Amino acid sequence: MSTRVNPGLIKEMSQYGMGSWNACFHCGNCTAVCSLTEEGILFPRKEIRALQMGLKDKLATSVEPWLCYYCGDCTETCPRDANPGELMMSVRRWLTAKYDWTGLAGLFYKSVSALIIAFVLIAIGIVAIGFVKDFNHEAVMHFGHSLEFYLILTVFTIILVPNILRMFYFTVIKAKVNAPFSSYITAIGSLILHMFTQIKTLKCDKQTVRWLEHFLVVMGYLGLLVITVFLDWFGTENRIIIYMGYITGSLVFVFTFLLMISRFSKARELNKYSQPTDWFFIIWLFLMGFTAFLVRLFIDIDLLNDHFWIYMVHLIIISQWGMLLVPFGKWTHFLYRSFAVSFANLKKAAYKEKLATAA
Amino acid sequence: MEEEKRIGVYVCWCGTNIAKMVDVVDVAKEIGKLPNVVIAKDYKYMCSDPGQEFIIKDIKEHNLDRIVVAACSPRMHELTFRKALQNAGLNPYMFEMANIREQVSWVHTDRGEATRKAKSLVAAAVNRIAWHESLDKRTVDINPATMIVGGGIAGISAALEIGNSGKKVFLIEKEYKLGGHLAGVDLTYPYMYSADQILKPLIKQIANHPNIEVFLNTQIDEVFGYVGNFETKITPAGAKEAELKFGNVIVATGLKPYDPGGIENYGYGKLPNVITSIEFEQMLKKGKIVTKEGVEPKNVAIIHCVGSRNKYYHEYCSRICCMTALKFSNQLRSALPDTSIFECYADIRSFGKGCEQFYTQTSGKDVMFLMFDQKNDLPRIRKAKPKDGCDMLIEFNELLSGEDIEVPADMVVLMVALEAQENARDMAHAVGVSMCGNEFYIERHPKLDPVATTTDGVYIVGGCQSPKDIPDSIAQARAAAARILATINIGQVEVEVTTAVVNEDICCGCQTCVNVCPYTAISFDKEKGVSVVNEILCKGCGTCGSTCPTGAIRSRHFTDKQILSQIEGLMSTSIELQEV
Amino acid sequence: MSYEPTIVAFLCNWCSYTGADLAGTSRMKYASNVRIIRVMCSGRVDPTFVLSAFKEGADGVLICGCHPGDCHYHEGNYKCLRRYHLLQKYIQQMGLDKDRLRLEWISASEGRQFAELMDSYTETVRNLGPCKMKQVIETLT
Repeated sequence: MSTRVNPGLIKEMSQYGMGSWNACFHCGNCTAVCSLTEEGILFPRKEIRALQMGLKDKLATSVEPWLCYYCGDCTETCPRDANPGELMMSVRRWLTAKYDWTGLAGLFYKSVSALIIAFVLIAIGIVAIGFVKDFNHEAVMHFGHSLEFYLILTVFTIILVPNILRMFYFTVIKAKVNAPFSSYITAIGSLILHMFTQIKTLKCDKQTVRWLEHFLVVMGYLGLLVITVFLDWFGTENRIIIYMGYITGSLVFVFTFLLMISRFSKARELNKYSQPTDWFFIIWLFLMGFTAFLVRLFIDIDLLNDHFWIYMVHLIIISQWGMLLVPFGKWTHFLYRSFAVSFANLKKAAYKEKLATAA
Repeated sequence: MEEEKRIGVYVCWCGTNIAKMVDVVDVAKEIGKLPNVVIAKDYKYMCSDPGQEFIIKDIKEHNLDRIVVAACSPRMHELTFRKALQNAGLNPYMFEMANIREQVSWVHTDRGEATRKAKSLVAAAVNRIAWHESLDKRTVDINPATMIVGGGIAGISAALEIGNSGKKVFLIEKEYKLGGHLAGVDLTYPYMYSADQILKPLIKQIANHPNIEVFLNTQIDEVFGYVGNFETKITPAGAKEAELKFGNVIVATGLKPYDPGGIENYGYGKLPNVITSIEFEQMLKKGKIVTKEGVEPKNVAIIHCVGSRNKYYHEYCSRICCMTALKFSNQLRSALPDTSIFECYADIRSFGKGCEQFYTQTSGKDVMFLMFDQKNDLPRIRKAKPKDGCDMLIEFNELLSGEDIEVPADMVVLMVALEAQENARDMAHAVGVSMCGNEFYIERHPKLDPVATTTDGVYIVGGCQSPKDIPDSIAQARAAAARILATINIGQVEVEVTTAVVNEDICCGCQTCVNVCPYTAISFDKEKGVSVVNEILCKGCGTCGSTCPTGAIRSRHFTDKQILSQIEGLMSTSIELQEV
Repeated sequence: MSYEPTIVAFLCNWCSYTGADLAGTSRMKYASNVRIIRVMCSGRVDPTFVLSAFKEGADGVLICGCHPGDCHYHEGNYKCLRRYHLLQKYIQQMGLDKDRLRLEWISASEGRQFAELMDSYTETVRNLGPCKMKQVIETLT
């Protein structure tokens, strides 16, 4: 069964931030230098080839783009300055759009104005709700707390879970990966491990500092999430919870600040090309941690009543985060990458089995 | 031969080329023991200036009268050493070379065997040289006119180079107009200059040139004579016969495109929109790119290496097609901005000035490059179904992705190979040049002498020697022209001295030799009753020498005595030839 | 005791000698039993050369020239061919195996074929055993 080549994919991909695509002439240096590639799961050259030839199905069913941790070694090694690192990044954006059943992820990647309009609408909505409640502090904060809870639930069940299932469909079912049942069991273990530690990053060269910064942000974010939503950080009087909240909150905004500086100064290879969604993600993450920290601080030093706007700002940020960036934006990488490791393990197990039966 | 012979023998190391496999010191030592050998030495690089000085000094010091050098092939340095002998005051023919490099050290693996063989070859040379005689060089005048066969860009360039120097040129062209293949080209890579703008001014110069006589619609039958003194009869179509006399010949007959009808996969001749690169170039020249149905193609595929680099067709690379294909992509992209362009290639060969940049630039113009397996899996072109949305589909396994793909195409351009002309063999025989397996003409030396041939006075330039582009063709043409002008400037040329000569005392007048000479250089003197050799016509092949029943006719420098003594030397046991 | 044959080869300057040189520049490896004598044209090979080679102790004689039609001197190789057929008959009369004399066409671009010929012809002559012509003549004279 022959696959038709499709020059149209290139045009589509350029909307996802792809730069020059034809410099690559397939010397394979990138795959050779990549610390994370292995037999049965080779990248990035094959992905770039699929991109150049417009093999949409091949690209859509590949899990490899998520296994790249954008250390930038390939881009540094490429003799043609074809920037394989950024090409893989564009593919990840494209895949995010593909997995999303609503189509909104694609829309927001392709159109910055649509994204901005959505941001503005949400801000207006939150302010409107504030008006309706007369900006009564307790009412608004109670509303905010419920909103967080129900937002998480809704986004999870309606968007994230279906999208993960779609990812599974593409990368395992449509890709015809025949993995033995036992590998499904071990995949669960690797899912949990990688979701919470991202230790694969350490396999790449010179990525320790970056891993540490990222790890601390993730820990801070998850901790802050649990503490604000489930332990009611803004309402509690439990000292321990309050201090834990401060700690996790500062982890978030301090290290996202450092990461923002990296992106601004193009310190690392992966910082050199920034699509608008890259900026939105890191800035909003920073603002989330920062405003949360400030809200609790204002509560503790008794400034909140006179400066309730800080809570409004925080609520707007939270809402934009939870309604746009989490389901349709870069946040999804948290889930897709974690599941990708498991799905890749299924693929490797299937490959090993095929080799064993062929021998 | 009664007088004493004083032979000097030099065994060359050639750096490590010979010394690695042949014990040169031992060879010199053993050869030194042979009779008549006055000195036998070894040295690192005999052909170098100090090496030659070495010989000259020894000749004077030791009063040597003949020299043997055991080194590379005489086809490399026989002339070099002959000149050294001349500088020392000896006759250049008192010299013999033993080939212990190309035919010993480079081809054998056992040092002991190689050294033994080297010794016997040098012993043979020493034996032979004892019978050498001084031969005086002969020169003949050169007719300053030149005949150039072929009016393409190479022939035209050579004609102008020679004509502008004030010498006469006969330019012979088989078609009805000058220009060759370049006349059918639109733009040239990599700078996209117009071919017409290159060619037309040159043709105009030729038309008005006082020294260049052009014969169109003319073919060459046979060229007689030798360097400096050639002649031929030509009959231009519809005109009367002319006899031309000239001193040198430049063969610039070019090449022809391969007919891809023999490659079933591509469907040339069956699928109307599969065309050759030549046909596409014609389309470009007319300025309209359309399919046979008269519409602009939405998908164009260009297939490389059609008939080249494949053992079933031609094994060689036709050199210019990759760059021409890139040129086509550029022109397609300018003419049809929305058309999808696919370059199906085996390799991209973009050497030459400006060419790598041309490739990079082309790949930035939305052209998809797809690699096929030249050896095992040529693409298959078939007619598409209406639902496919295109005229044809090309199927093959794409090597860089490993996928079986199909490429849509409304027009397919086959980059056909370049091969020797239909009548290359006839032309080779007419002028006396040799051909290689692909019927291109062989140069005298592929590195050191790419425009001369082993026939003095005959030069090959341009596509007839091998496929090449415009700058290379012009460079070769001008090189040959310069060589010819140099010899014309000298006015005389040396001719073969190793000719045959009859000893009238021994000749019995059987006339056997008269019948075997390919050059009819031997005639019978009825008065004396003996054969006579015309030394101008004799080429020194020696056929007469081996035919003569009495041994009356001798081939100078290849006499019976010389060769028989060589055989003796080869088989001599005075140097240890062991049986294993 | 195994013996190694010695073969005398006459190569014409324009084609076969050049082909042998090409085998050398291409660094092809072949048996070292052959000793080469250069003549201008295969037509120069006198029957006495061939017989003299056997007399001096050669186990085999090889003549190489240009392919028919390609002779640098137009027809010399045809003359050689005629002579060769007669010589073959003659040496058989003398009691020598006809394979001890061989004629092959080698062109200037056939380096590989030359190397292969060296190996194959050496093997042929090796299988024929030593040619005792030299000893016989010495005994008789």
